[in-house]
Amino acid sequence: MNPTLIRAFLLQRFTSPMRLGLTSLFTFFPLVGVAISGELALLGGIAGPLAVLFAAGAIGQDVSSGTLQLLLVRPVTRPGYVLNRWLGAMFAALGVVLVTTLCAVLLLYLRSTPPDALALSRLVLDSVTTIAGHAAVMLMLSSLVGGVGDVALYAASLFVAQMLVVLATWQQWAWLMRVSTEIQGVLGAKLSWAWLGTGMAPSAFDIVSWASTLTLALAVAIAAMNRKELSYASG
Amino acid sequence: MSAIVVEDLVKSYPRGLGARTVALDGVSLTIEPGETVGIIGPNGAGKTTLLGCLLGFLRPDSGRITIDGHDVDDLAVRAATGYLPERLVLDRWMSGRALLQYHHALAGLPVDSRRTDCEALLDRVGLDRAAADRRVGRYSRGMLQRLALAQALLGEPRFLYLDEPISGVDPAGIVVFRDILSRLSASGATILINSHQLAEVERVCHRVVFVKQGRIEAMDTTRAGSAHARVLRVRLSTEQPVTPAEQLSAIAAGAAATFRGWSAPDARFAVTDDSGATRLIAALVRAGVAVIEVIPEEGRLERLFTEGSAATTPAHAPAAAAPAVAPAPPAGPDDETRFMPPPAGGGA
Repeated sequence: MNPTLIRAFLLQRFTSPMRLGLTSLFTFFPLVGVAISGELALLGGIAGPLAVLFAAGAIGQDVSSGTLQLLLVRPVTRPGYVLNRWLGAMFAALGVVLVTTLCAVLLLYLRSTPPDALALSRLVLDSVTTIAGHAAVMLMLSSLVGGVGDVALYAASLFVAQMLVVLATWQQWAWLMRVSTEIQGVLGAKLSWAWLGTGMAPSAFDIVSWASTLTLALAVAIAAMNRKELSYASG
Repeated sequence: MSAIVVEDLVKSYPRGLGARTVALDGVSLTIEPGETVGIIGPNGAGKTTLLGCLLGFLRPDSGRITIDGHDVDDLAVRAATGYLPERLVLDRWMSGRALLQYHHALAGLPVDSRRTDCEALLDRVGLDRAAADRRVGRYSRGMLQRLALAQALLGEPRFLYLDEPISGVDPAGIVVFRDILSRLSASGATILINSHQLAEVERVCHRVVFVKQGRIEAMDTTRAGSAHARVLRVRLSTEQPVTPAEQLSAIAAGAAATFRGWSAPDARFAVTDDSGATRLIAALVRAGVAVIEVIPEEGRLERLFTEGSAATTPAHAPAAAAPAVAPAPPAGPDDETRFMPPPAGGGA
């Protein structure tokens, strides 16, 4: 872990007006929902979008702007750079989720409906694994395209997966349905903690699936970075 | 041990449909510690690609590069490397001071000296402290160049790569740049400069490498002037009677030089070497000619560049078939600047 890289990444992300605006948007309405309904579960959907928001362009923007050259002249390895970008995106999204959750808990206390400790634990753990998975996938996409093209790639992949679902339903092709489910599973890599406190065992398949998606995404990102030519002469 | 050794480096880029463009075609080069080497050549010659390979930005197709005996990706080499890019792509959202401190930390330099090191560098490159607090995105080209130079100098690098270092810098900045470079060079740093500012390259470099079509076409030391013929422009005082051209021609002939013409207030003479220049000036003064200034008409590198760029070397021909830029010394009075071809195999 390189604290200098992570600190600079966090500073850059939290000083971007557009990211701050979108962060407010992603968190404000769920908080209002929690305040009105008293349901903490309404915060369950913010972790993925926040991870995508903070990881978007994490590598592509450095490559496109050329700042990566100056960074890699320093004693920083390419795999180290990728992993620190992933950690940075995770910490950024997780920080926002934790602050939002804290606000939600305070709101619930103000409503005199304190949250269930188990539900709170599930929410936090769900968020951690969702953010880790989404950030890894975005890092992979960001290593493949310049700028914030990873967002377009992510959106296009989601759209294609949805179209495949429609086609599979219409034609009743089970294999195509399976393919689209897998694509959606990769794009929205998350691990459910619903089993926690129920006495049931966690699904080994789910754990392996999430861990393999995360590992594969990071491995692809590192491989792409190692192959990347960083001089404008190569263009 | 040599500081930088490049052996038979080949680098090509895909051009589509399986075709490739050869950017470097068997480049070999050795640079000694403390040497300042300039890389010159026309656009598209392969200079940036060579620099990219040396910095580990580009992966060569074949060949080998060692820096201080290590691979280019070795972290110990990186920790001792400074780089000033041609395109000043610094993190625009940071302040100049924050950017320096960021790179100081990335370079793994001691935390205790971070503040003082950065302030000292800001002073050294002449970037005032108020400007250092401004966001990099608001810097002028000259300020960006100074800041980029400051980050390149962090930790007193032993290997310094400068890509167009004085482009957009004002005259005061150029003086600062020269001073920094001479100090670094004296401290034993190995410096590589890629620039089109030929006069400046000639002034600060010990040696120059001329790259063309991916090959090293010529190499020479910029300070070995004695073997090089050139034309001198001798400016004469306008307060004294004009010396007739015939007399100037006779004086030149007596000093083994050639009178090339007169255009008030300058007379042009071709000399064979440094001692020829000394003889000519002494003869002119002895003859009572009011000499007030002697200027080389054309920089040696300028001449090399012009000759080299005009030469019709077959693209990517085998090494043995590639003609040298200046294959035929000794130089006569009309052959102004002559550069020797690189030794066999292109090594220095």
